[in-house]
Amino acid sequence: MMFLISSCTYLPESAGQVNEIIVISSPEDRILIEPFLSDVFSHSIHTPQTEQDFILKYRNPWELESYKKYGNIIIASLDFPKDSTTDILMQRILDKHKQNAQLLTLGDLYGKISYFA
Amino acid sequence: MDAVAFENILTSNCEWILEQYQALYEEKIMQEVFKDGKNNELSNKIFQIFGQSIDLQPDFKLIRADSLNSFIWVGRGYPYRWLTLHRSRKNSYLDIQSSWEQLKNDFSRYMPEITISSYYHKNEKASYGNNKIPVMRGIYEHSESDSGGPFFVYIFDTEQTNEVILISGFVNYPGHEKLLLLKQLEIIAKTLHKGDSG
Repeated sequence: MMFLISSCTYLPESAGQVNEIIVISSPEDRILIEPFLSDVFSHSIHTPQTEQDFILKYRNPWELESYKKYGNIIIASLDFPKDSTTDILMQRILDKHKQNAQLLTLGDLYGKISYFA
Repeated sequence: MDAVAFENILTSNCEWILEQYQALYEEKIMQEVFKDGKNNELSNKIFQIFGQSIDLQPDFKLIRADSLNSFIWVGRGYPYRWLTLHRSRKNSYLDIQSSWEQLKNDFSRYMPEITISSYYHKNEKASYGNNKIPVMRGIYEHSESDSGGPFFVYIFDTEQTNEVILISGFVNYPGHEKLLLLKQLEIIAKTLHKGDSG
């Protein structure tokens, strides 16, 4: 129940670049998950400089409020190591949407749910 | 879940996760690309010459058309972006080595001012509707402007025996990031359709 993808549908007021993904994670988890997420979003194109398809920007859970208008958000949390930030945030989101999945998407974190996996 | 379980979940769902973000990414780019409407006049002209067409932004202009050889070259101003459409032999694009040889021949025939750099050749697949189609990526040089940039070639199968339609996109924007401009051209390339544009 610790990994959640939230991807908002396009809104005119969406902040951030179109290929920017905000990753909300605790400092304790970040060091463990960053290599795996970087691998998933590793595709790049030589222009001839190397340009990544997606740019991952890691932010702390307590900064979520500042990023809720961003179009692409991933909230990633591990049970181990335990922490008092993302673990609680994740549980709140799961409880709010009555979900118990390890991986799920929300069409709009602050609005309607589009689909789950 | 610990880090190992996390890795396993990511690995087994990697394609699905990427598809979610790619779909959103392309949807956003599509909205941006066509926010000022479409250039139906030019799209219809391409259809008359080529038999198929693509949706284009209003500021695209026809650069070169060869109705005898079914070649179309359209583009727009700074930062320069070009798109070309041409037909070629499917057999030549079935393996990596022959595809690059054939592409060099095709470019040399239709756009002699453009040459393909020997660096950064990449063959991959891109989603197109529910399918995956071949894409070639590389760097081109343009002799007239003494500059160059990245290009892609989407290879679309046709109903004809041994025929493919190639849509190529070129970006020229020295000193700046080019990926988003390239992606915009890719979105346009994927609008390939039969029939006119209304």
